[in-house]
Amino acid sequence: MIDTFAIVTTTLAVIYVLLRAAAFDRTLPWFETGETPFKSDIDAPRSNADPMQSSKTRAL
Amino acid sequence: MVRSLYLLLIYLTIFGIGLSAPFLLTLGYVWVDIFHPENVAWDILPDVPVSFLIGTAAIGSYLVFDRQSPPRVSAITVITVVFVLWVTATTLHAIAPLPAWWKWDWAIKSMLFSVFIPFAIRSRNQIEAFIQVYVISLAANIIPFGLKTIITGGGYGTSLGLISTNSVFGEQDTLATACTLGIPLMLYLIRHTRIIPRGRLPTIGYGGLVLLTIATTIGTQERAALVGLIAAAGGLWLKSSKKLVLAAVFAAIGVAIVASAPAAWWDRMSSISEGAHDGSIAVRLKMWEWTMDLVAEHPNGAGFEAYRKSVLEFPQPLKGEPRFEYGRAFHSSFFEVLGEHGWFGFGLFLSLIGASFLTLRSVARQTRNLPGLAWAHDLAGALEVSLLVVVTCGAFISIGFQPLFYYIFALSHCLREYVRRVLNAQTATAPIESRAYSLAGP
Repeated sequence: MIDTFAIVTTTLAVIYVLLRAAAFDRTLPWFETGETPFKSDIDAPRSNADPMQSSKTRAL
Repeated sequence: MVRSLYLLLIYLTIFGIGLSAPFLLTLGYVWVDIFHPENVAWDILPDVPVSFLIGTAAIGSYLVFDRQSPPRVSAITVITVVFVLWVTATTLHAIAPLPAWWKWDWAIKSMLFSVFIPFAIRSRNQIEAFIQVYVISLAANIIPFGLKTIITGGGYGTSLGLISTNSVFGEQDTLATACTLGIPLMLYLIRHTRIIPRGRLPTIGYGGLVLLTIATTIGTQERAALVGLIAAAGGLWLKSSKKLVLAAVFAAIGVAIVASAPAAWWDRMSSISEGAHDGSIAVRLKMWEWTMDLVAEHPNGAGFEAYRKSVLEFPQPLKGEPRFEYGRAFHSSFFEVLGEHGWFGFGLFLSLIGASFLTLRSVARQTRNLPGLAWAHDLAGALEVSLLVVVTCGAFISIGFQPLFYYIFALSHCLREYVRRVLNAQTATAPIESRAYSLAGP
């Protein structure tokens, strides 16, 4: 019972983290440093966007 | 069968999500490496090379679709690659060839993947996701072990975690070390989690996980675990700006342990002070003595799994005939590396630890007065404490080639590269006023 609880909760949590990380990766500028994304940073993707992430990467 | 099918579904789901970006496949590999679905499931996955498939997919997708702005070559990268070549060379003339190649096969994966990680894990989001996946995957073992310890009191050699085989986290000393080094990371996530939005529930979750981790390490009744806990407490206390409060918290935890630990735990822990008179400690001391003789005979190393050839002689003054023990483990990561890979390999291993510590110190120094990079400063501190824990525990258990070490080396490199890119980009592109604003945070 405890084992099943641990397996289910942690695997679902890992999937949740992966989905959230994937979503953030598309929207957050790569070197933003604040606790929440700055609107100005998101509006200016070419100056702050991740120079290491091409559209090809995202569309893998 | 239901568990096996469920884990197969989860593996395929993680693989599917991973296809959207190489860093997600890298995180999938971390989940496989820490959770070990092939050891938790009873059918199907044990017959599938889960780690190889997702690891190859991560590296392959990076090479085909990503490959942009790779990290600078660091001392950690160079030393790890030289170490990989060296352990391969020592395996060629191992004194126990068959088991040596078996261990080479899994050890080399941890080492090489740690070189790859900084290529795929680059942004703050990706670094945090790595730590989240690492901690949550560990939690799969911490939750059952911790809860069962609270209910039953635990026990030395008692299998209470998810993995019942005598490998990876089925070995209690390895599990206890992995758990203890996770404590600083859990505390870090309480302050800086963003992927899982901060709030009361996540704080309770991470805090509860810390308590279950302590219960797990106590429940294993491993002496190395107690030493690791003390190292973690000492490291966290030194890093804390609220030393009095933290000292009071540690005192309360200590009192709770003293009040609730079973008699068997006290018996195990009190044997530390018996030194060579304790059977287990006497075996360790003999084994380390044997290792020094081994390295004198094979200064370039005797290859992986050389301990299988060990013969320890214990004089029996009263009975006359000495007692012999064969094939005892090294009981220390440092003696493990020294015996298996000689003085050069030992030097490389120490250099890796040293380079990682220096890298983390450098990150902490660079980010000290930058509130916008407070998360990087705190993470550097947390990783330093984790490294201190794994080095301390590693002095008493053979984990020199477990990913526990190599993930910390890799994360040190990731963090340093992130901070370098941020500071360079800020310096190159932003006017002075906005640079100060951005690094000062919102």
